[in-house]
Amino acid sequence: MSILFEPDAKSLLRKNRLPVPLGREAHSVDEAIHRADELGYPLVMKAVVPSGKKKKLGGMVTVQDEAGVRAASSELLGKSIGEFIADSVYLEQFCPTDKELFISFYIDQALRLPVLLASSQGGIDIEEAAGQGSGLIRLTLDPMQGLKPHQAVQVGVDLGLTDKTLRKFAQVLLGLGRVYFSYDLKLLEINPLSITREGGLMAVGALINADDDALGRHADLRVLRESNTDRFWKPPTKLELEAIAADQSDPYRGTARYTEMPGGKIAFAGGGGGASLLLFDALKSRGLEPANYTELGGNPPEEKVYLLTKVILSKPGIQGFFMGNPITSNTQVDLMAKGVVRAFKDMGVDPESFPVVIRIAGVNNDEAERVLNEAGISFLGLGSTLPQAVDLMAKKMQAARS
Amino acid sequence: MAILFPSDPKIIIQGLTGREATMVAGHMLAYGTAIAAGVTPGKGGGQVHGVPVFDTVASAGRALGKADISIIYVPPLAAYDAVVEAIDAGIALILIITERIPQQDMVKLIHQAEAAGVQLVGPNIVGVINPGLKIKLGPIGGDDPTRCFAPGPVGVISRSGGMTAETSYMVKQAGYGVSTSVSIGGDALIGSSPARLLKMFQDDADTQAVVLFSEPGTAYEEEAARMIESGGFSKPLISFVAGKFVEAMPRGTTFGHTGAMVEADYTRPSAKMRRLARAGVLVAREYSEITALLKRALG
Repeated sequence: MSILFEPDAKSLLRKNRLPVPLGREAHSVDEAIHRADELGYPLVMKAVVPSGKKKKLGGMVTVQDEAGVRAASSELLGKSIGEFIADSVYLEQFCPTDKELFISFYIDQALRLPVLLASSQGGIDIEEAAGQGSGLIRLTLDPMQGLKPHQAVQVGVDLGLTDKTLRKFAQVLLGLGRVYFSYDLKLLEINPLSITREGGLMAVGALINADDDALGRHADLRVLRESNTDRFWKPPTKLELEAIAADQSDPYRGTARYTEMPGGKIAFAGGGGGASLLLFDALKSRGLEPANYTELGGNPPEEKVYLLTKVILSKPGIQGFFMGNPITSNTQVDLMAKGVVRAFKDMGVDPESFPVVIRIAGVNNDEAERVLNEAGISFLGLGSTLPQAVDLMAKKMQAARS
Repeated sequence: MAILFPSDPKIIIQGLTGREATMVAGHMLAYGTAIAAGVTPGKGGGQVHGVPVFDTVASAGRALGKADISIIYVPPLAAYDAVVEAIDAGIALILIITERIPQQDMVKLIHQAEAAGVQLVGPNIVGVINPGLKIKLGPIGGDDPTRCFAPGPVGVISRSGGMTAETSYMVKQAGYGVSTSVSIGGDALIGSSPARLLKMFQDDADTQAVVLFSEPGTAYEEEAARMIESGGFSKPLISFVAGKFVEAMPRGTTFGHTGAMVEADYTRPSAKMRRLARAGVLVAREYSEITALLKRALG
């Protein structure tokens, strides 16, 4: 999913006429001081990283004057927040607050319905909010109608709001619901949604996860910067970036995914999600540590297989190559074989001395067998099972060691 | 007898004129599965492999009578409208092959299908096959379904498309065949859960045991375990859960399919295995054990 950076999340809310503090982004200390002058003091400064836990991770500072901006921006720029490094800071007018609320729209996957979560204790994170029990309001929404006006008012009442604040809150909550549904978001979390001293409302913290699969519908969301964080709990490595480039070389044919693992000796490729999960487990259970996790499936063109195989083989410390495909329904296995053979040749991998196991069967089976035989690469074809391929790999690795 | 559809179903393919769908339709016909019609707006009056193409599902229905099954083979952002069209036409079973459908679209589709009493399978599936009836719905089995699918008494349910065929092949290796193999899709938001299909296999006289291939993420195994404990499924069930290594990864990491996110404890493979075992399911620790467990179950 794409996590929107806070400046982008805020500008999306502002565009939809929701109240957010006035803010500016800066990429250098000088720029930060200049922006601070425009905004006035006091200010809140936040590291721009795709995380909803900036406060907890030391990525948020309140400053009173130019000296404070200078100190905070030199500290935050380039700082690691969790696994991410801040390239810029976001400066926002400080909002004097009476009360902080927590609001979150998301899809409950067990209910298979959209849910609104609200709490009168904002400023904490979702896990803490979920642990609150009685203080938490959980409302299942009608996916066809979204949040209804009377529901928005009721949530405000249940949060203990009254009078003018209640009416304003209901309006803001309806607006948030509209943004959540109309942009096909996966998550819209406002934390805190502050009630200001003047009785107004202000979305002070905003976390938005967009649905990559819906971006084609939202040209205005796509222009916002996004970070492809679905499969990464840390910023992508050089090889991971190369694999993304390989996949994007032909984005509509086949899927190639690569995640680098710490350490490991086996260059690993599984055919599709399920087989990859199974084979990764099976290799590990035999003491063979994969150096990466890879799914390669969906009938990829030869070039994609070639590029990804090269990425897989490029990791230092590789001592063997294992590729396991389930018997395919639509993946042309001859193209897989050709891609692998070409990568082996380019990388100077000698299948005589380097342990290699490939399990390959399915569409265009015979041609795949011919290509691999010609290249001198041993493989298991139709008639073999995936566990047999893993056993053979274990045997080959042991033989190579002795 | 079969699960999901009558023995001689009327099948349409929405999006038949596309490159992939055209190829798959050729494989279906070659296998012996009759296709009544294709639907592509603006391509009405044409033909693909001799199958007539209509502009709408309703037009196809007027000409040929109501279809029993629609296979959705349209691009992700058009899938919502196509499925709504099939629901409105009263088609009882809709298989969504398309992947990468926006999450909120799927939530709305599941909601509308339930309200209309329509069964969705998918999205992001390779389809369903019944080798006894020679009915292949979708790419499942490719150009030669007999490689993996022999007729027999075992039902197969799989989160993974590729592993639907491979698991059916393990059944064949064990000396049996499959009654129906169903790819249910690896996403978190799917139309037909394992529990729902187990209920159908329970009522199917041709099915004596079921193999379930699971992955990390979702509460579907928890739901299945509860359903078995309440007596909803009493035939032998053999389970395999892939992706145990994911538990050692930081939370929120996605491997395999988009539904494979490990969040709550019950979404973890080891917890699923324990939970299913507690419900009396035969849990294979290694994939190869499926063979022995099947033999034990079927005697």
